[in-house]
Amino acid sequence: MRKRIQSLHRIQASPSILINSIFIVVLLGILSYSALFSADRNNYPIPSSIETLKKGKEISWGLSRSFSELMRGRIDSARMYNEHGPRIFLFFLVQVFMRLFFLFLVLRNHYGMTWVYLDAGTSIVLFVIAFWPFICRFKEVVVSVF
Amino acid sequence: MQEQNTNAGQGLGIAGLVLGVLAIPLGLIPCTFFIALVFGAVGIVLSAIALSQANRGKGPRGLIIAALVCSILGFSFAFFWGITLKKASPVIKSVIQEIKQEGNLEEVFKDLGNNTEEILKDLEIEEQDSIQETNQDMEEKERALEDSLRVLEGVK
Repeated sequence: MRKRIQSLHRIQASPSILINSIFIVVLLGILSYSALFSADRNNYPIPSSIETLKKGKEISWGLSRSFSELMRGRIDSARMYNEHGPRIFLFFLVQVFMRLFFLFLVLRNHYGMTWVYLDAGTSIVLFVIAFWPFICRFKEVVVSVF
Repeated sequence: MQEQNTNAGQGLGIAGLVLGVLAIPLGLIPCTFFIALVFGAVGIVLSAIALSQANRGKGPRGLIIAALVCSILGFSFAFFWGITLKKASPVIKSVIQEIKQEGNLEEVFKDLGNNTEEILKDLEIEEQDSIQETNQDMEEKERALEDSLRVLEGVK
């Protein structure tokens, strides 16, 4: 009982444990959402907010369906739904393993400031690589509007 | 020297950081900009409260500042997508107008389809009436000519 209380206090005291745990839950939630709903049935509960209002396809068109196909191991089909789907899916997958790894380090008391900077730097670089087409599209849209 | 050994604002700071970090990719994806807008806004509010708590309680501020930066970034991405959508509203209006116009045309065609037989019958009746009228006129003119011929023959 005392050990349990101590471990709870430790979780509360260390933001790293809490942040990594929350991100693991969120990322697993995204993956399970993709696994639960399929592209064949097209039964996604969250509707696209922009595509219903804007004329034509947007860069994120078919991203959920692409994720679902990737969860089922159909890479070619996933690329057909959204060509950028696989790289974003890979980013999320890598993030799950990174969060698990850094959580392991925190629990082992090996998580110093060097690891924090390494974690943040690697995540930012991977994010930019994975979301590069979206960043370019965003830039295009902002330039065209203003 | 003041020691920073309190946890003031840490809980809200963590919540703000999670929301802010989630708001960044969601804000870049056009389909999910609305979720990012909400996450970013809530993240900014939570981070601001956490920052004021940390300032009062002399707690660490690094995480809270990171949360505030992430939330502002995510919110800005989503906000720009929102503006784009608003600017694109003439396109939406034109689409709605097109749909409305097509709807009117369809209605006209439907009405025409339902009343075609009636319209044809009316046209046939009108034609028959006009033919009858012309026939009557011709008969009257023939009679008038015959009468005038008889009168002329009688004069002779």
